[in-house]
Amino acid sequence: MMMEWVYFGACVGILVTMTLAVVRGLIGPTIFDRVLAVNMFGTKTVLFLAVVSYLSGRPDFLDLALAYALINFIGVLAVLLFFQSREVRRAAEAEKEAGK
Amino acid sequence: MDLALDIISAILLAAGTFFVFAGGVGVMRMPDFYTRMHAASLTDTGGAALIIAGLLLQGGLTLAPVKLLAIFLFLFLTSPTASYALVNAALLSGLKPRARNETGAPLPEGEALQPVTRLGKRGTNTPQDNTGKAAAKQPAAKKAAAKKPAEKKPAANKKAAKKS
Repeated sequence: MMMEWVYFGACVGILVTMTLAVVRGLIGPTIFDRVLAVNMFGTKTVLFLAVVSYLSGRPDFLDLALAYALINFIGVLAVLLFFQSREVRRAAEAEKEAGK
Repeated sequence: MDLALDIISAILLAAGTFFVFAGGVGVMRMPDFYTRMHAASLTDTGGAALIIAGLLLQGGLTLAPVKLLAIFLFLFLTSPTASYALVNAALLSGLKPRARNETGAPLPEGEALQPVTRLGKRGTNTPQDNTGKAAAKQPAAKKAAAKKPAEKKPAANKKAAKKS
């Protein structure tokens, strides 16, 4: 009985943190703040799924958590690569215009 | 035994939740991107490790702890990598850290110091400082080195005298 309450408290704490991450993602002044918030949200989702699997006694949720961890990492790297190449392209365009 | 395990895992879970929540508050309240990254990356890894360790103790002999270990290993490897990639991308795209001068006032726009030269200017890590300290230490070390043989020699002489 005690452990259920501990799991519940951990769930609530993680959910509050996820809310804070979402708020940072919405107001984040730079694009990197938003990527950071998404990354953090993903990690917290993995933890949340793990705790919920113990809270509800269904170990299947751990598979979902594992899959989400994989997708989150690849997703963040892909988004970063996209924005990095955009910056490089912009710099190259600026150089071209300066050369003309 | 069960109660002890429960208490240990409850402590680990509470500590992990605290770390995670502190990371969330840091991401909300820190002043610029790099400090936010600092708050988020450390607590991402540490809080995740603590929470998963707390759950591991509750698993028993099933497949669940193995999956938890897999999640932990993966998070432990990818979370710092993602943080590094994020900061690297931000630095490459020209996002400057918000620097302050010696009096603590924020520097004007475009005058942000590079982190490395900033460390040197603080006067703690400058090469001159190091050599000065080393030069100050050397005479003392020489004196100590000179003293020790002088102390030992009479003792050795006494021993030799006793033996003879």
